[in-house]
Amino acid sequence: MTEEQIRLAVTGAKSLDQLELVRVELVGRKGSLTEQLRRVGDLPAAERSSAGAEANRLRLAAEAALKLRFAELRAAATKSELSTPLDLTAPGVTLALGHRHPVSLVLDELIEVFWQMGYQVADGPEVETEWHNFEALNIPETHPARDMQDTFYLEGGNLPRTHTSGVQIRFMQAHKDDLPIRIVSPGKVYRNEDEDARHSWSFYQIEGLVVDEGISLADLKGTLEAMMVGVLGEGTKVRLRPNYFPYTEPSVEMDASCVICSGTGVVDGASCKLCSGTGWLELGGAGMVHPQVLRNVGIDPVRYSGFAFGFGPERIAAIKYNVGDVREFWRPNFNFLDQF
Amino acid sequence: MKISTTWLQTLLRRTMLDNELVTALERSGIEIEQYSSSTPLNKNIVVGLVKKVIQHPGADRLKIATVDDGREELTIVCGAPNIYAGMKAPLARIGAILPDGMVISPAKLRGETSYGMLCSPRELGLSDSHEGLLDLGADSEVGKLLCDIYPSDGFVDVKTAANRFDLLGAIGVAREVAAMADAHLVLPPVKPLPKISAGMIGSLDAACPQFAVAELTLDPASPSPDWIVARLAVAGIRSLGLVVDITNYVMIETAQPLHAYDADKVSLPFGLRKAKTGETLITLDDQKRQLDSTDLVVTDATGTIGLAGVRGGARTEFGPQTKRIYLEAATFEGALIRQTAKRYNLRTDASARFERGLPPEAAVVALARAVALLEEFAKAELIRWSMTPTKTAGSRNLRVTAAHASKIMGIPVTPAEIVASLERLEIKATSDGDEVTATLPWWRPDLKEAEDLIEETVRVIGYDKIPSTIPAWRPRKLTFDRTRPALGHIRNLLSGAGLFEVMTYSFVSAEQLEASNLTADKHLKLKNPLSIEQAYLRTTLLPSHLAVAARNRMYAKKTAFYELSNVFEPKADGEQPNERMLLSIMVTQPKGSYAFAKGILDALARSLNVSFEISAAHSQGPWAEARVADVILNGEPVGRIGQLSPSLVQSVKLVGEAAAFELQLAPLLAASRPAAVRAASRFPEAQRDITVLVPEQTQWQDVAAALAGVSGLEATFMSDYVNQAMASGYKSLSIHLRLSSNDHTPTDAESSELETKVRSILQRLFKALPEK
Repeated sequence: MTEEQIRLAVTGAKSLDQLELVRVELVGRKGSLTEQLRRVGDLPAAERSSAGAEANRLRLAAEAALKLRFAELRAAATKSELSTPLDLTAPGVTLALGHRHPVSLVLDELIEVFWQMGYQVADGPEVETEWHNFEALNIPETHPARDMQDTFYLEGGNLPRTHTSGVQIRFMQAHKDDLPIRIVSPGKVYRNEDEDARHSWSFYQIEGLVVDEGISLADLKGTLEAMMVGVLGEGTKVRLRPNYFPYTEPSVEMDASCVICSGTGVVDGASCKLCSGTGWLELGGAGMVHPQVLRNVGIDPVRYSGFAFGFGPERIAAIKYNVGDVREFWRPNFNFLDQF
Repeated sequence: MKISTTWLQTLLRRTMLDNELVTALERSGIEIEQYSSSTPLNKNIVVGLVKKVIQHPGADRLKIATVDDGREELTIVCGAPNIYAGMKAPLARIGAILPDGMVISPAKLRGETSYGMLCSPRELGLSDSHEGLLDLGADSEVGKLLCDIYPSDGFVDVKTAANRFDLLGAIGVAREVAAMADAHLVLPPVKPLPKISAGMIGSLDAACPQFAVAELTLDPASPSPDWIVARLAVAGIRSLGLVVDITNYVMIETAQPLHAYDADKVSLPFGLRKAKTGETLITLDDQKRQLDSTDLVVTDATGTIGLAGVRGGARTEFGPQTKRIYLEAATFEGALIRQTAKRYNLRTDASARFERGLPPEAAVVALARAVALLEEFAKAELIRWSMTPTKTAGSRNLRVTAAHASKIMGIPVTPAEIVASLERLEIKATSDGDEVTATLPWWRPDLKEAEDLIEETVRVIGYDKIPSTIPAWRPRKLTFDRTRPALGHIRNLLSGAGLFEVMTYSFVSAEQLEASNLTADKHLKLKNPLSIEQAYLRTTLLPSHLAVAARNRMYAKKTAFYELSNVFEPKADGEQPNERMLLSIMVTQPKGSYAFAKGILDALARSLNVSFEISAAHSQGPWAEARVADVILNGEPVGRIGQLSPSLVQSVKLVGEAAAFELQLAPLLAASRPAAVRAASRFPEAQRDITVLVPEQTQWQDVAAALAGVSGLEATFMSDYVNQAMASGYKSLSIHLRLSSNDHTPTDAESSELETKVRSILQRLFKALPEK
């Protein structure tokens, strides 16, 4: 076989598949050039050297030609492949991703905000004693405020907590000699009341507590403002209105400026639906810890003061994701949940 | 409580716009549930006299009327069926604007032009009636403005704090408005009552701090004045005759409920005691009530005549002919009234006020006011009256220093500012140096501590005047949260793997538990569930999750979801339960559900770098027979994995299989370690797949443990299966073997040697059949 024949055979291959056949034919285990090289050993000793050199030369020439042709053909193949139209806008392969629950996502975000504000997360039991849920919080048995929170009771005593404030009581008892305190307590709470689009009988709450020397209403106001910027975004404003809770004095209601209308009450010339045109969203309650509550856990209210606040992650999630009915969160419907 | 805004206005010295009222109420902290402004009817709506009515030539149902509006005669086309010549009805002239915004202009109706419109009550916003024109009656003056006949009344519906009885009365609310808007309260005129008479009141239980009663004669035919009827209507109270109307009116005004008795049916003296066990009473609603020994009852000389603070008795009910009444104004221990009202499901406007604990002074104030109104409108005469002697709380003092107030408020406040703020609320106060002493008025029993005075001061000053500061933070030690990031990691892992996170209620039904072969009695039970669907505190999430799977069965053939939630294992009676957070996952799919659930468990184990031991368990609860195992971690059971009982799955109409696992999170997180990383060998590894026949009960977990001891080997499960060609009792097990070395590429000979070793282990320890 001459070098010219090799060249013709290699360039005669019009595709990578044909070239592979040519390669096998020439330099494969049973290829003609491989055979030729193998046969050198059978030759008389005098011929071996020159025949060997010739066979090697041809094989190297073949390999070089194959390599060159391979590069040519692959470039051509790539070019032809890329020239086939591909709809770059068609949807990709659908990944079977799962979904986090919106309230769980919001709880995580809230906790991130509080971590950044230096708060420690505290947990406590969901089934509480009446003392932790009520008495310690300045709500004695005969107090009309017991009716403010419709309570489930368990046969044999104790109750599914109506708020996470019992966690604050437990934490203060455990850390009364270890002040200051700065905690939030997220968790499930239960209220024996009929459901509607704004209320579910089982829901999450996140409550905060700060106890230190010299804690003031101004500190509470500044903290609530910072917290709401953290939760709802830059530019969020906070308004406090007087309210009554047995466990705080003074007590306030916390409103944040509406995230939809930025507090103007107007969207596209019409009254904002989210805040009913008021520009404010009612988000939660707060206040200065009642001195009786501090006494109940063994903290001296003359030396120390504190504030507490609480609000609902479901409400935040409903605002954030524009969910009109909070019961959706508790009735697992994959058509609803797969949007998160 | 709904209060007419005009009523509030009469209690204030300065006339305020409705929106000023609303702002003042908001500033005081009184929550407004609903607010309706008073917008007077348009001045182009007048009394019209229908002089003539003829049939419309082009429409059967229309008539053409000639109407005198006091200035001229107008042609009006009208479709009302009740129109008649001589009728006086509201006429909206051209240019009038109706309450719904409609502007009246000349209009052609079937070819006839109407120069105005005769109106129905609904068109004027007066009621829902739309059957015909509002018939104003023959006495109405033609041309008179309708807004003078029907002065519109706005209202505020306020929700008041549980500690403020006084805000359940118009005077209390007006007092707050006066303080916030600097408008000054004007109390209705009351004549002081004369000296008390003896013999009207007998013995009283200590739970009755005040019992006042007046005897009056009156003219039973006197009608209720329109303004009383109108203000009660706003409050949602129907007019029921003058005496009842006045007792209700005074209750809404002062927050103190009153009760009237037919004096001829009562034998003095009045008394008050706890009911006797077994005692019964027929109440005003003709119900026979079996009384409880904690109920307070009002008595006369002959027996029980009322359930104190809750409902009167039928025996002493007064009627339309009653000419002599006893009017009672009393105060009771709030908690007892609350209990009684709840027990008989009789919560009323009156009981709601008693529950808050009325001060004794309120009773006498209300009685005097009611007597004054009865004298004015019912030609009443006060015969005599009496009250509990000297039972008043007396004036109380409360002190606060400006220094403490400044510290709590976070702004400097002077004693003079505190005094001024308190006095705006009609709380008398004086200062001595830094200390302010408040003399608490009887209507503020809620003020008990210095902090209460600080709150009153802040309310008057306004929360908008409080600056914003962020408190300094100098903790004694810092505590780091290791749990929540780990929970987040698990959630993200599972959601990334395609699972939905769900939240389900912690309370389940007995039916749900029993369907899952769980015993309801072994669960904590609610005394007062909302419904039997939610009566028990769950000990496992599986019954709830079966419901989730069933509800979403049309979503996809294959679903997988998880939840992290606490469950409640009962301990001894009265003890708080053992609460544990569980991770529970469930998968549903036509076949192979267990393998998917196990795959998720394996992934979790890899991700947390823990190793679970799976130990076959007896089927219990919702699990399928022979398809359930304990999940063991470091020798301790931490949960279960398995397939759910097919009959249970079918009973909730699920097609295919369901599998689940449920793990306790605390031990899992405690055992989790960072991944133990080995340096990868620089040399390629050798790989081989082998298939052996092993007895079919052979467990991979045991095989893996046995092969773990072979150095340089990593054995992974490929598949196992049974078919009929195999020796009976055996299954085919395929294993992937990887051999690696740190200092060379394993040779063919080494690979073969390893394979032989593996086969011999399998034969020796697991009775694998020798290769043929």
